[in-house]
Amino acid sequence: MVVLEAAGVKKVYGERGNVNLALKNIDLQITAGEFVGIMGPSGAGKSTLLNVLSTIDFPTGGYIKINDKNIMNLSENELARFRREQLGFIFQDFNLLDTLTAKENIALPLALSSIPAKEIESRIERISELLGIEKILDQYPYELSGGQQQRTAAARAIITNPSLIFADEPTGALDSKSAYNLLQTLSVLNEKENATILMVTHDAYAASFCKRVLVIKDGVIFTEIYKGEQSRKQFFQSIIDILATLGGGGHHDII
Amino acid sequence: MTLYSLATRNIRRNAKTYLLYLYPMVFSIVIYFTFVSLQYNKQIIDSMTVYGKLEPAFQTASILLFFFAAAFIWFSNAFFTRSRKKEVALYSLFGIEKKQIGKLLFYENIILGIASLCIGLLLGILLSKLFAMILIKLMGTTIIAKLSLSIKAVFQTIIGFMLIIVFTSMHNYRLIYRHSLLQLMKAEKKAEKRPKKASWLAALLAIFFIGAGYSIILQPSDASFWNDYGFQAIIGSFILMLIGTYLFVQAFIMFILQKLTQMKGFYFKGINLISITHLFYRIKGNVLILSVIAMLSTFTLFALGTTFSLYSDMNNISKKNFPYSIMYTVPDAEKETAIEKLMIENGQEQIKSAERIDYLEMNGNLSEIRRVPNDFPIILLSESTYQLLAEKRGLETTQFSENEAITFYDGNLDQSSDPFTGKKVSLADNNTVTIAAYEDYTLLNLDIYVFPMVVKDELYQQLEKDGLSKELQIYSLKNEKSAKELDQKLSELFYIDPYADFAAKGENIFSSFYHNYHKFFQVYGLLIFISAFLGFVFLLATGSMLHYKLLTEATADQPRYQILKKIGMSPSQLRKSIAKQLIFIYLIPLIIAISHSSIIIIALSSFLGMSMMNSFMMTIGAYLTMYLIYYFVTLSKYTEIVSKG
Repeated sequence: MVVLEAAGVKKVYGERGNVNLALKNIDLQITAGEFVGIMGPSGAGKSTLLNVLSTIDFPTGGYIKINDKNIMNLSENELARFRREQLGFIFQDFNLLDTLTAKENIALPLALSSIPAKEIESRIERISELLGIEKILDQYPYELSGGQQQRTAAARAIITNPSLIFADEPTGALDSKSAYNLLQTLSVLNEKENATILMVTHDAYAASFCKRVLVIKDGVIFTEIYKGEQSRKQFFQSIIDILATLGGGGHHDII
Repeated sequence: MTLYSLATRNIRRNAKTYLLYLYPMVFSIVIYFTFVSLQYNKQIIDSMTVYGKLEPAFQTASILLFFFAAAFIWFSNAFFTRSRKKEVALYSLFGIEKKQIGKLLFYENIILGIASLCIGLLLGILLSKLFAMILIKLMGTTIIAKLSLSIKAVFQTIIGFMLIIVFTSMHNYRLIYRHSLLQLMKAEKKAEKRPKKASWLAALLAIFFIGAGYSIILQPSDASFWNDYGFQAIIGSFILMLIGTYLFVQAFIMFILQKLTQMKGFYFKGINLISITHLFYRIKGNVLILSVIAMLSTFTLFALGTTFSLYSDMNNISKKNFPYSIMYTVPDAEKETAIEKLMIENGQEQIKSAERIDYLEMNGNLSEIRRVPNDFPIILLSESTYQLLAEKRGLETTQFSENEAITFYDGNLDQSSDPFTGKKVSLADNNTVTIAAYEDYTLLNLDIYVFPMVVKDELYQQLEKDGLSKELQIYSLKNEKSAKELDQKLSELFYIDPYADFAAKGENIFSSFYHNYHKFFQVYGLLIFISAFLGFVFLLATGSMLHYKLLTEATADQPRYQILKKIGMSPSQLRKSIAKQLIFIYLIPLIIAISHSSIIIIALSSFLGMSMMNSFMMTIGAYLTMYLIYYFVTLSKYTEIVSKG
């Protein structure tokens, strides 16, 4: 089943005379249960693509369908509802509300959708156990480590059983051990919960946890790599090899 | 570039930030200057026959205004410097010496201060005419306000506000020394921590304090402790309410919110989760300001409600205290013909009734009465005169026996209490009478400075040889409210100085309804003006303090709402949540104030024996309207800031 379908997606920044073509012509399909990584050098358009796909930003051209619904036709309020019910988000800087406890943060999207309190409690219980954060539920974000915060954010993203989870550089602010834990967690969510995940990263190590990696450069999809039967280490190596071929452009931030 | 030019350039470039600081300063100056120039307005002083008695009210109000202005400017200054800490830190990073930065801030504030003084004075001069007109209208006088400039008011304003400006400038000079560079850089990014657990003890105390304050003030007005500890009791109950109010905002409301967070079914429903947690922070950051608004609003509602109801009840009060249009001791024949002529000039058809009665003026010992000096002149009326007068006005009379006397309402504020019955008064010739009854109406007009008492006809005749027998002429006129000329000419006839106090008036009686009625108008008109003026200023100033405070918090809140938006909070949910939070914040002080002032008004109206509810409701209505305008302005700005980006 196709969860996300994008065709001819274009994004132009700036006005007359000073136009910057961030996305040129992107076609993309993601099926249920996939764990897709988007890689590419700085300025390649990774984050723009994610923002556009995740309804946070609007494309200048092309169309995007999620669950067969064209998201370009939705009103502000419908979009918000759609985001709440169909999408989950994990951000580089966690984006947890510092005014809420971990538990309240996780409960937030469900509360906004007016799910009964009992149901919220039981879902939180299950998810927090899965992510190993049941002990920190009553603490505030500033009392938590980066890894704990990001796992809380992951719990918030998964709690609504979304069709698609967007992760924007989720390991960017984490130390290597926490990063490993989080990526493991995402893999678990992908395998056990059958969550569909789209992750943007510039870190080949993080990308090696995915099943498929799209590499974009200068606003177009440069290539696509499948993990297939490779081990994670082998997959990591093949990603590195591809990225090396990108180097000619003068961007060396990955190598 | 000199520091001076940097300072002026700064002001020009950041006009918007500076304007936010300039407005409150100009506002304070305009208000203060306007008020003080009214105080010194010669026209108003001259037109007011009662000014001497009301000067303290004016004086107190202007001192109050000054301190309020100082606090308001101080607050705005703190608000202003906080928003500029980063800029100051940058100067320091670029290598400008601390001393120079201090000087820069000092000069800036001085320039801004002097500019706002000039603008404020100019606007004040224009506004003072407008306010003078309103005041004159309220006082019921018919002079035309001229645009006059009081030099005294100008100087008083300049000196007062220069003091404030220099003081704040010095405070700003110290800014760079008070904080480390790091503190300055992080000024706007202070992490808010969830308020500590609200203590149920403090919440309980809040209710206890407010309840105690209420119950003291609601004691029935005939309770004995009022006589002994009246003043202390009122002060005490106000202090209890004050402490109670602070605790109410700080603990009770927090306690309620905390209870709400524990009701998961409610808490986890829709936007409640966000609204309630944010309220925690909003209220925690504004406890003091909310309490101050609550107390100032209480004062305003009470003062306005009281003066307004007295003002609108003026006809009743005047009629009660001054039942007769004209009342005078019959003078010699020459004057009498003059008076008759005046009455004819006024129009025979205006006379509703005329009466001539006998009275006996004498001295006695009033030491038991304690409400008047011991040797206050007494006038005795016979029982038959009493019955005649009461009958004409359709009033009840009381039967009494020999050696007893009847007294009357003497303007006593507390109308339900009887200060006279049972007390003894000794008269000439070893006669002592016991006061048998107190009538709650007055037999004669009140402003006659004698103690009227009714005795049996026999006693009256017996005493005639000991006192001065005189006659009293009484008129009821149809045009008593407008008989200005008659009043003036009669006063000229009776006194050399019509407005001299009692001692200079001699012992003859003269009283006119017109004179007293218009004195009332002046007194309450002025009081209404002062309380409305202060109330308006308080509302405007505290309202904008809350407004700006909330808007800074909105800026700090903006990233949080960005997150919420990404998670899927819809724009309509966001608006609803903010509207809920803000209405809650705005309602807290309003509800406290309405509750406090209602209780005070209820107590006062039972004490005065008059209904004040209508006027009070209208006052609340007017206040609510202005207050709601603030709410909607804040709401739209807040939503705008938060949805940005």
